[in-house]
Amino acid sequence: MSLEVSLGKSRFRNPLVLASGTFGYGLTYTHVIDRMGAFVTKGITVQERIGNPPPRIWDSRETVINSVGLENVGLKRFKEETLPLMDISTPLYVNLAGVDLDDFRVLIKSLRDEERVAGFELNLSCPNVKEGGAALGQSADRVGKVTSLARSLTTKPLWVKLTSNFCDVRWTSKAAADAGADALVLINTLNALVIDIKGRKPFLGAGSGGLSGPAIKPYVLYIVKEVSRQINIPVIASGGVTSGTDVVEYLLAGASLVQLGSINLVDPEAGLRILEELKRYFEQEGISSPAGIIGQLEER
Amino acid sequence: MKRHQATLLENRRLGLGLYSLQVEFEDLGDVEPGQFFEFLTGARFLRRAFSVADRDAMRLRFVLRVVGKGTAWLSQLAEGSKLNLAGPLGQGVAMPSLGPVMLLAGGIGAAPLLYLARRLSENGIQAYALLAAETKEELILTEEFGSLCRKVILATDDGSCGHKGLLTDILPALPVINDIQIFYACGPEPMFAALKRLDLGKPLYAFLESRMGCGTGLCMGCGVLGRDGRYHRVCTEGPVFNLEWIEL
Repeated sequence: MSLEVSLGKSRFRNPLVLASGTFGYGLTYTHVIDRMGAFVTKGITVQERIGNPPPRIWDSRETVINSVGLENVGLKRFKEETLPLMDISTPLYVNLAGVDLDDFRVLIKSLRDEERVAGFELNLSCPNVKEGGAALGQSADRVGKVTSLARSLTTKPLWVKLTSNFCDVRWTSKAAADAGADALVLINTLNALVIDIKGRKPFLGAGSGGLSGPAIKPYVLYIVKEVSRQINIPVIASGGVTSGTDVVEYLLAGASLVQLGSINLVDPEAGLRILEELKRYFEQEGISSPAGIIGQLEER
Repeated sequence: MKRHQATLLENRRLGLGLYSLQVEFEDLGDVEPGQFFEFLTGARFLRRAFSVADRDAMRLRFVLRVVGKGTAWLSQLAEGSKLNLAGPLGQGVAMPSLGPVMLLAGGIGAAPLLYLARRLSENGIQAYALLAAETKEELILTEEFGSLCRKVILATDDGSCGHKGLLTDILPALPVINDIQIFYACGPEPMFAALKRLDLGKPLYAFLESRMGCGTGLCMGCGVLGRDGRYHRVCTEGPVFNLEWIEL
């Protein structure tokens, strides 16, 4: 039995990926990162961003709502101060959060020759910033343009992380695939509002946030199934995984890799547990590799 | 991050919405004043952070105030229940080399300062405590401070116990204030802002409370604005900061 997954020329030791924004810059808990299939950094912008004012987090039993707002050290400090400190054996994907085409050009040109960087995840989906993010990802035309530009600048794997907020993710997925993306990441957080009725105002410092966690899993499963059947590049699922069987569900629905996000905030070592659960499931069911079940969901 | 399966030995109501939890660990290393543990609850997805209020061998005491469903769940937990905890997390405070020092507590802010008072007492550092709250019902741990500090001064906003007035109204008039070498404070944000305006002329370490996501520095969900214009992680860089160094 092997958990290895191949996406084009890229090989991953298992289908688990640590999602952007839930594992910092990869400088801590490296024993977890080293066991995963891939790691995606916090979103990096051209200029440093201090992020949104607190409070930035709210949760319920099955959700997390965040409005961190892409707080990050910026490209220069990331490249000069953070990247040299990274010491992981797992493929490192840098989440790039540009505001416009020029930003993506600067980000990719600056990082494409870094040996430590295995590939890029284009963040066309952050709901917590006024420019870039979801504003780019809601239009198939803009998704196509950013992806084409990125494709023209690098031969490294390009993942495009999309949103389903106020747009049809089937069309933006097609635009990314047609423009040369290597994989689609479905999906970023859902627009969300928390209301403080006493103050009659939004609870979160930024006014609104992005919803994640187990509550969104059935919704994302559906999107992954629909898009993976219509688009012929690999889909990477991201939505509320907390267990090994959740990963199996996403593989069946059509995902080739599966990101772990909110659960990392409950336990930074959750990835290790989920990996063991996945292994056990494969052993018990006599599944020899993820390829054997990816997209194997049967019709009713 | 170390996870623990610990046992809730005692869950006692202290006052208005305030509970004291005594938790027994199977394995517990050093814990510094200011450090916190994260509690998994059955009511919320993320853990809830509580600072250590006291220690007796393998037993830690935590004090919580019910503010939402996570804290309500913990307040109703039966004695003998198992708890899923992570910690200790955050940076504790270093022991000062000389005293006297003063502990300034607003409401439930008394909790982490009690453990500091215990460690100061063990290290022979003289401490004074000024404990303030809105009402008598919210003035907690006063006896415990009494056994560890040279003097405990009480104050309530409504005058129902001790001096009448805000902590920052009473503090400047205290005769002992000129001898104090270091202040340690924990309370609501307006209290820190008022302390900043008082400009006590001596270091003041602020024990901050923050709504946290992970408690481990991964999510960037908690933040305090530093003098450098950047948000800093309360969970990993704090929760104790030099008051001079943070913007309120």
